[in-house]
Amino acid sequence: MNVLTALNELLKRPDDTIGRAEERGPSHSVALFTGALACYLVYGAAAGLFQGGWTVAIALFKVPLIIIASLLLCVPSLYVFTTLAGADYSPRAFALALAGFSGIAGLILLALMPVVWLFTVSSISLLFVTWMHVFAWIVALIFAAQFLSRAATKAGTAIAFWIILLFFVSLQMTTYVRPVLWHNAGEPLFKQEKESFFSHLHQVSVWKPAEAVKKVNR
Amino acid sequence: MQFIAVAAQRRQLLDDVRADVAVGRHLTTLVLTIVILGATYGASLGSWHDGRLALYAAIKVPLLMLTTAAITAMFNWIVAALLGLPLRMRQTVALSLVPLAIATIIAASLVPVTWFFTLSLPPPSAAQRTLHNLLYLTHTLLIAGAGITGTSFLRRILFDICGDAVRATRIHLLWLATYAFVGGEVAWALRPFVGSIYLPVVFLRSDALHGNVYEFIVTDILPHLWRQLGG
Repeated sequence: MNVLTALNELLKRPDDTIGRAEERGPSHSVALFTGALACYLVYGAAAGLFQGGWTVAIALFKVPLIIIASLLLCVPSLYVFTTLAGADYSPRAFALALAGFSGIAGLILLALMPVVWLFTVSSISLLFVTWMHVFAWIVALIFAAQFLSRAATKAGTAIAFWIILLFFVSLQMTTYVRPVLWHNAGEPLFKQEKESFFSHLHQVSVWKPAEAVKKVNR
Repeated sequence: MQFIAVAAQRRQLLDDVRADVAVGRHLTTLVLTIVILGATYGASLGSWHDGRLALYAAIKVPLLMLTTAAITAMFNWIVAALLGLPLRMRQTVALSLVPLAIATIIAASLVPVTWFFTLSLPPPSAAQRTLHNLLYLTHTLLIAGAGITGTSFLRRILFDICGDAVRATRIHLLWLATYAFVGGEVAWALRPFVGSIYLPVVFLRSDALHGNVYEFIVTDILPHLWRQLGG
């Protein structure tokens, strides 16, 4: 199955994606993961336009990295939480549920990309843009969680806890791979100093206005 | 790891325990689960400090679980009998271990996440008191959440066995309170797990039996966090 067909089915008939898990090969999951990756790349490129230049490439690389690495860290807990709550997956069905989750999150981010692009190229506040991305990610997670609830019926509460976990992991992952949206000249691709996401968000909130002025004059 | 997380496997184990069949074999599996997965979580818990504390915590988390089960078993057995649920001691021990095994499965599933946070957060130092307190509280909540999830299965099991919702709930609540009360103090006695930012790493503190965890949270952790929030 090709990527567009898989994403189209996921968007319009998500129950088909879930219900026919057993009769489909792993290529369907691969197609969904590939489609999700493409969506994250597009969203990342739009996010990078806040500073422009090389930051587009940096965000293009780091946004998918943040999402995929966070998901990978949370896969064991998703399996344990949902199976304890009563879901009974085969490995193929679990992979497809995860691929569908990634796909829905990607589709929502893709849908929000024009809005994100508009505010990204017109905003001068890093704080505003950061919270806009956090909000977009929350929206994507909510829709993706609804898909997951269909795949793992009876596990609604477990999925809600898992989504909160994934959200916090993704915040810390963003801090770990920073800088993402603004890259100062001469700064390494990854900052070496360890930091918590609380501290990182605080730094964003006190971001020097002089840097914003530079953006206005750009 | 899958044996008890998956509903069908869990059902088989519980049916056997209820019928008092192959309980010894299930006890071995439950203990092994607690030892292996508890050690995995313990290692991630202690690794924020250093490798030595990771090793100590890998030993102490299973010890915490098994000690809690051992200390509560007698009470659980007597309470169940008094409330009209006569079980053999080995059945009670097996049932006491089920929620702890489930709790270690949940905790172990979070190891990639806790490991990542350990890797990416600033190392322990006197300046990281807030971070230490947050980590301590987060791990406490994680373990408490995992424990509560584990014991929620116990309520269903007890209901299946005695067929009386009120009686099952009473026994469940008493067992849960005992786990929390005893588990908290055993954890305090076996500290450090996360490690202090002021004190050296040791296997057990010299004042291991001085004070309890609830006093520490109320008199130290929460007031500090409250001050940090500007309260």
